[in-house]
Amino acid sequence: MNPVMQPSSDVRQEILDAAEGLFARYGFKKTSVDDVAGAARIGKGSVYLHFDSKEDLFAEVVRRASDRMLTALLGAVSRARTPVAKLRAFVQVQMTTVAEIMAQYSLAEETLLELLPLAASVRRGYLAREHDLLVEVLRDGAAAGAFVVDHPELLAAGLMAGMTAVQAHTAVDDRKDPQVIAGLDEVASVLIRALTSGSRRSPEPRESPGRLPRGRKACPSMTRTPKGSAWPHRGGRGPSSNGRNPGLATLRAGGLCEGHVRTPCLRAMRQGGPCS
Amino acid sequence: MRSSDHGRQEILDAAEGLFVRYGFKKTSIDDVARTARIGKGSVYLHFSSKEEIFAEVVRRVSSRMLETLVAAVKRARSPVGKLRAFVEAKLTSVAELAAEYHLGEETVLELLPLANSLREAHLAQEKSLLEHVLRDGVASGALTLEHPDLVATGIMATLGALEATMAVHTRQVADVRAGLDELLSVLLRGLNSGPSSRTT
Repeated sequence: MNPVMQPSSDVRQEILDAAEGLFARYGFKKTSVDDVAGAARIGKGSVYLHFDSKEDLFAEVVRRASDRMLTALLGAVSRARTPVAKLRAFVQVQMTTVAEIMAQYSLAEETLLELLPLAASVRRGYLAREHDLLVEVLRDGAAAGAFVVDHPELLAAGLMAGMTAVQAHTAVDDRKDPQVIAGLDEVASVLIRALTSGSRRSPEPRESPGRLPRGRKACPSMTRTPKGSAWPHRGGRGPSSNGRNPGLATLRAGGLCEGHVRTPCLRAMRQGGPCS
Repeated sequence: MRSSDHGRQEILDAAEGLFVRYGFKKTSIDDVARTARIGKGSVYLHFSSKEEIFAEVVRRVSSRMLETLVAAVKRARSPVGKLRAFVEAKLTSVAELAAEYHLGEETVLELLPLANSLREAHLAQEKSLLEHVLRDGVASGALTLEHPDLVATGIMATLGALEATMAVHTRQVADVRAGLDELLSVLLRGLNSGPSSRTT
């Protein structure tokens, strides 16, 4: 394939694909712009036509992966019909997407620990949007009478902290223990029971997200799309993926460094300062 | 053990301080000996390697944490109170530990995986304490849950993960804490309000 023949955006994608693979495999420090150019089969100079620096490249890789994650979340939540199903969908996609990515790459612990803090500052904006989406799910559920939630903002913050922490932990420890997964699932069920128990009496069936829960009457929110919602259809902001690996370590990277984290690492590095 | 237990404690105290300050790699046996004001040879009378010292330090810290947990659970009266006490004690002890030592991010990231592999036994004990609390709650009718073991596993996994996050990002702890407290309240409500309506 002749790079000269390709439109520039394709080259850009190829550079990012190459970089994504290299960062995941060798970490940030050990990957050079030369390596990226080599893997993308273009000249080093061409890389610099698209990206200012390795830091810039890394930030873009993280952004791309985060985009895919957010798109997957939005899709899953909008597909689910009931408030409970939406909440479950959110949690499940958060957790499984990360697990899938982990299965694809077998990252060395060291690499992971290096990448996590680096990705944090880029992930911050995305985590804030994921948080907002979760708040919306909780609020809509409350409005529809399906949930009893006193503090949707706080609860969302707690849930996000819990989920992202678990992701990072799972990634680092490489724990695919089914017992742990089942345990987390059970905790999620207890939470949902708590959210739903105030208004109506009936435990949630866990097997069928998206279907009408037993013993519950159809509530208005099942058919409507939450008003003022930013999430169901974000024109054009689809997965920037080209059907390749969804987003590597950088996604779990969101893990350790949760939305409230303010590690200005990448920014500091950009400005030539030390990281931390 | 032939050598005095006293010397052993001093070595461990010195090592604990050094590990949390400089990390595992950058701390040498020489450093430990100097800080404990004894000869390097004396250190080797007690421990065969730096790894062994580290393992013992972790064990000691873990024991302290377990004691704190047990005490907190004992003090609380109701099953829900005990459960809350467990979670709060666990999160607080880590936050305090991290704050006390001003751990650098790099140090935490280096020490945590090392320490966790050594903490398996303690974590298992913590988990069984939690499971005990849950089962007691069920027996007394205060809690409703079908799978105490699973819930215990899930809570432990979440707490373990949060500990790691909080240890690294001590400054954000307060920020996250409010959210976690809310999460805990909801969780407790869920455990407290099962379909069987045996709530207190």
